[in-house]
Amino acid sequence: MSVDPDPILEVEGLNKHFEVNSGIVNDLRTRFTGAEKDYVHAVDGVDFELYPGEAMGIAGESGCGKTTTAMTLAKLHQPTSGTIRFRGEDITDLEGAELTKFRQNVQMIFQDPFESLNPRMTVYDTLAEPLQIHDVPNKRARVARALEFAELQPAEQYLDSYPNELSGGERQRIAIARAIVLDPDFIIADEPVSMLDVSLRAGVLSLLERMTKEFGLSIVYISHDLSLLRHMCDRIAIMYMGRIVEIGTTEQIIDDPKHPYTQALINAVPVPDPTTGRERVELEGEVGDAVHVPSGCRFRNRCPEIIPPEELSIDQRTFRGAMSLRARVDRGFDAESYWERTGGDGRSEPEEFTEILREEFVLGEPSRENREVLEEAIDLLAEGQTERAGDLLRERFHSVCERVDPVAEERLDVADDRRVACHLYEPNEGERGVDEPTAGESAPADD
Amino acid sequence: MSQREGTRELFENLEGYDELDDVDSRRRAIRLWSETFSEQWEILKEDRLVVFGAVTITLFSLIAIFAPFLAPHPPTERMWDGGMIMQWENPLWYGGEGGYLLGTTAEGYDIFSQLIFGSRPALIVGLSAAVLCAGIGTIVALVAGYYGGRVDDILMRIVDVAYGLPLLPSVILLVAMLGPSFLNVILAVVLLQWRASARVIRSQVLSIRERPYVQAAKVTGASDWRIISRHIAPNILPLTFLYGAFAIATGILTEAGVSFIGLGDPSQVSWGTMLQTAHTYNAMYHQTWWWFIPPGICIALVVISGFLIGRGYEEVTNPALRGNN
Repeated sequence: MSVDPDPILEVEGLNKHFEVNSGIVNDLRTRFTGAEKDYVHAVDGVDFELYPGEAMGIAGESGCGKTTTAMTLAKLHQPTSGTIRFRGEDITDLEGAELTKFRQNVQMIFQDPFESLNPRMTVYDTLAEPLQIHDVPNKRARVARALEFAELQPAEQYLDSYPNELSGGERQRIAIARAIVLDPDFIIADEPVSMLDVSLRAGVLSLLERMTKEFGLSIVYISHDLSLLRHMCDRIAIMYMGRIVEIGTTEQIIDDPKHPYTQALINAVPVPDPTTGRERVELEGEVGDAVHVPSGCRFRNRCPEIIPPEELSIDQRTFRGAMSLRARVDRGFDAESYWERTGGDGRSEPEEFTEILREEFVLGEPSRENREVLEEAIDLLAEGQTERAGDLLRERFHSVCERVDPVAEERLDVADDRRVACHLYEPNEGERGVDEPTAGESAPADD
Repeated sequence: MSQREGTRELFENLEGYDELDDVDSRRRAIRLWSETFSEQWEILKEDRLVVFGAVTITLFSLIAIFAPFLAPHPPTERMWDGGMIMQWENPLWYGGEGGYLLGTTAEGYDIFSQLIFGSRPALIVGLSAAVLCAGIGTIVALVAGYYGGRVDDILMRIVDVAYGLPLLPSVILLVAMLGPSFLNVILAVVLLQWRASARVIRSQVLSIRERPYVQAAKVTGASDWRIISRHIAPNILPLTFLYGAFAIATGILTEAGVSFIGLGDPSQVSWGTMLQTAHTYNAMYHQTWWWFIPPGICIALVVISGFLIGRGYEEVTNPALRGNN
């Protein structure tokens, strides 16, 4: 990792929201009805910095906003808010000639080499295009050198080929050659090898590694594959629902993950040796809705370590189950699907109904009191009194995780300098997360 | 630019390497397009029906160009025989004595000459309608699809309105307002036919706009014009030709229809006006089928050819259709 103190790229509070249902008709409708527009919070408050010569990985599940982050960094999307600084210069709102000038410094490698090369352009045309745009001389020679660097030799043989005449590996090498032909300072690689055959991956990865090491490029890898990032990156950021939940050096993240989500991701990476025992943390619940973002911690609906209130003595599994049931009820309980599962005619089998719900949500070893509350709530659900069941559950089962949005910061009880967004760890003094006024689905605060 | 050493080394000492490259951006553009065309032709010529359509259209085009040399008589010159107009003359091969290949009309015109000259308005309307419909539709589609947002909304609502207009009644109205001239028929056909190509090609542009190669071009700083002309347009071209080919057919049909109901250019002979006069003079009653069957066949042939070529282009645009025959 570089010791250069000046980051090449600083990202602060980056947001990218996409409007749901845009268009004249919908605009008019919302204007007249006064309804609020819905937004998909694809990227929602991302901060990080990248140092010269550094390789950083961004990991997360599909739909967590990592590709949107990449595209926003490459200025393919205009951020909704937040700032991006490149070499200390604010590039967030660049336009026209200045944007074009900035583009000389930033390139992107895309996931699918079959889609990232124009099928109607020869290799030479594809590689010479950036040079034409920026009016760089000696095009042919530069193109040849870039191809040779990407181990496509002899370069002359490739110049007049069309993408459909080339293999996936060759295409991705051409995409890499296109990225370096302008001599950029910073490259974004969005899943650079996930579409390639396993046999070709190693070659392309070592080319990428050589590229960053030899040229001192800064690179951001976007991937869902932690074992790849471990191999390629100096630092790793883990994203969940548009936020970075944990960011630290590769060793910190891989060997000693702190955030429960990071732990779950690391545990999901297959291990070659099945006898190596590793405790698997299975995630329960569903990925949240990126339109109606949950209050507090975004991971709370699936978190296996959601924090119970202090006065409540309860084991983790029971609390997880109780919170899952609460989340269901808060979102408008879909009783019909459970009635269907009873196999009875309509509501003829209330016993079966409560049995199914108990099996799903009464977990672990609940104390008598907790069990009673849960079962009473389930009985109320069977009677169709969803609201009362919700009140009952909310009264007993609530969590700091749904009230306070954890900040990604260095934590006092985490020894190193990584940043974690989780209430399990001691927050830095004076930088407490903002106590959000709880709205909509969440419980009234009582601490 | 930057002060790093790394990448620079790779691109050092390029001076004098060669200076070939800056010369030929135009040549490369031409090559891009010609490769596109030849690739499509390779697919098209596989299909015999497409070849048949292309040959028919070429043949009629040649006839239209060389009409004055092929036609034995001027199309609007009455045939006289010693002070008598040669009316209702039978064809040469049907006992006719005047030596007219397809006989003469009730007004004494040579039917064969009219048939040959009639190909001109048909093809001019067909081809110009094709070029203009596909061209306007494609431009609207590229602008609407690429820029999106308000521009897209407005253009597509105009298309919606155009979709509300019924073809023949609107043409009749336009010709009635602007006068029965040949150009007005073309205008009317174009005004009503660009909508389909605009709508469909726009959806294709929307899809191509999001392809990684377009994104890659944007990242390198390509201008909107460069992206539209080099990355999007060549990839929607088959659709443009598809709609162009269909527009030939509808153009010719509309011209024939408008002429038949008497709103065509009265000074010009077309297959449609031939049918109209044959109808007016009750050719059917007189059993002079050589007057109205040949123009009908000609219209059908050209229209079918347009559709066949269009069908071939459907195979170009949709590879799933290939290889079934």
